Amino acid sequence: MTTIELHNISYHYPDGQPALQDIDLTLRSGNCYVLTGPNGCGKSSLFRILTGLSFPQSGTYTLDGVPITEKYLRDRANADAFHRRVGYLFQDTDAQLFTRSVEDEISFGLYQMGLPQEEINARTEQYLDRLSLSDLRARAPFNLSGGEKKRCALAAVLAMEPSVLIMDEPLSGLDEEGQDWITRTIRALKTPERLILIATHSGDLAASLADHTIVMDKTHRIQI
Amino acid sequence: MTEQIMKGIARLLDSDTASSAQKTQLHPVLRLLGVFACILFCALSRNSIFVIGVIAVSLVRIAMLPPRRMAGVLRPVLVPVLLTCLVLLPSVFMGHPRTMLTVALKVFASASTLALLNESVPWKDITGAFAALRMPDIFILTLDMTVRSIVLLGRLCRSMGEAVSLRSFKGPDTARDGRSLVRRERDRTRRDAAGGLLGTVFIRSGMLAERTSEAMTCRCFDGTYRLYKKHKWNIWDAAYVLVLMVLAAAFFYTQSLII
Repeated sequence: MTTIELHNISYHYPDGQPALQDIDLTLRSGNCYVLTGPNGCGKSSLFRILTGLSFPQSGTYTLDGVPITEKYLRDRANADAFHRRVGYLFQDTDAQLFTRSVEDEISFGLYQMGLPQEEINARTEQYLDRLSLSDLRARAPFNLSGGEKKRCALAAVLAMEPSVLIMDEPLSGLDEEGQDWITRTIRALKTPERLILIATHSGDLAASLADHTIVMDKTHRIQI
Repeated sequence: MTEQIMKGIARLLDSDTASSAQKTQLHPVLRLLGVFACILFCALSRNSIFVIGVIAVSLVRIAMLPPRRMAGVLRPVLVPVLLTCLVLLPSVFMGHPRTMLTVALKVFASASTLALLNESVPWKDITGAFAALRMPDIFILTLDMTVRSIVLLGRLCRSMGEAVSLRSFKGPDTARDGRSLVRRERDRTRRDAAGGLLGTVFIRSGMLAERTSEAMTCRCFDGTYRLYKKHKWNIWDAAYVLVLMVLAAAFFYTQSLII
């Protein structure tokens, strides 16, 4: 059972512009939350805080009761444990894919986790197969099409088997077929142990996946 | 210049396709060692027999390629050879024509073996071969990410270049001093556009690096970079080791010949 709690989170960009204002949110595993809102309302900033890439100027963020702070994540062991639990699919897959081949991309995180080679092999093959990437395994990720890149990035994140899965605009840049495929895949990922949080502008995705919809507005607050 | 860069990027991309990835069954480390040995032996060779032998073998291999790939191999070889001839041309007038010939042959042999390696082994396998040679992980990762950045930023450059060209127009060239005001203005605009393009690429490269670093953090990066696929030794590798031994024997034998 995973619980994320945000209390009075506020975050400003370095130039002083507000990105998030007084965010209060509780997310529990077994649910799929869809975050919607206009461009620039702070969805990506919220995701950066949830994934430990940015830290709020005020408020608290706890994961299963443990406060996630800059100091906490500066400890290597804490950071590893945290990033194993929280998987993040970036909006810009070009930035997320950096290795020489699709199979190396999937196995990268597994090597960092220090898993035995047999398990790395098993999981890599499993996710290559599960996301229909077996034929593309030797290709360089930067040479793939938009949909293939998305699948590759998702496979790389899923292979680490995180209990929290955060996806920023998973449908961006995909054609209709690709969007359907990703929607079906995300639906299959819903389990009682997993917490899924998706930012999207797609009403269809929200309607078909959301157990709860969170709406942010231009004032960088969550609408009640 | 831009065209050359784009062609280089295209070659990189081309070397990643499934068909070219299966070009060779040989272990890339052996290919790398073979090329290194060839270049070393050619450099150390005191007579032309060994070098001519290497050139002959290289030419036979090049001749087996389709015309387009053949041109792709020969073009980068001819440039350093011609440059070498040009630099050493004075030695001919000073009564040492053999010097120019010997050095040019050595350059041709070295460049052609390198060009053949580049043509027949995908870039991924070459950087992977460094890993097998116990190069530090971070060195291999840097090489791989450099290739990726070149490709991604090259695409960005091309897109922006196309956008600039779609917005530029050809003005009248008729003027008393050969260049009209319109044309001069157009040249100035193009220079500014090129400057803006480079600046944008620089900024985007910084952003890309930052995002990549974050993506690595999210996957618990601790400085380890291991390659998933391991090459299994096969009969072709054993045959290639034999070829390398023959090469070494040929080198030592030809050095004993007096010409």
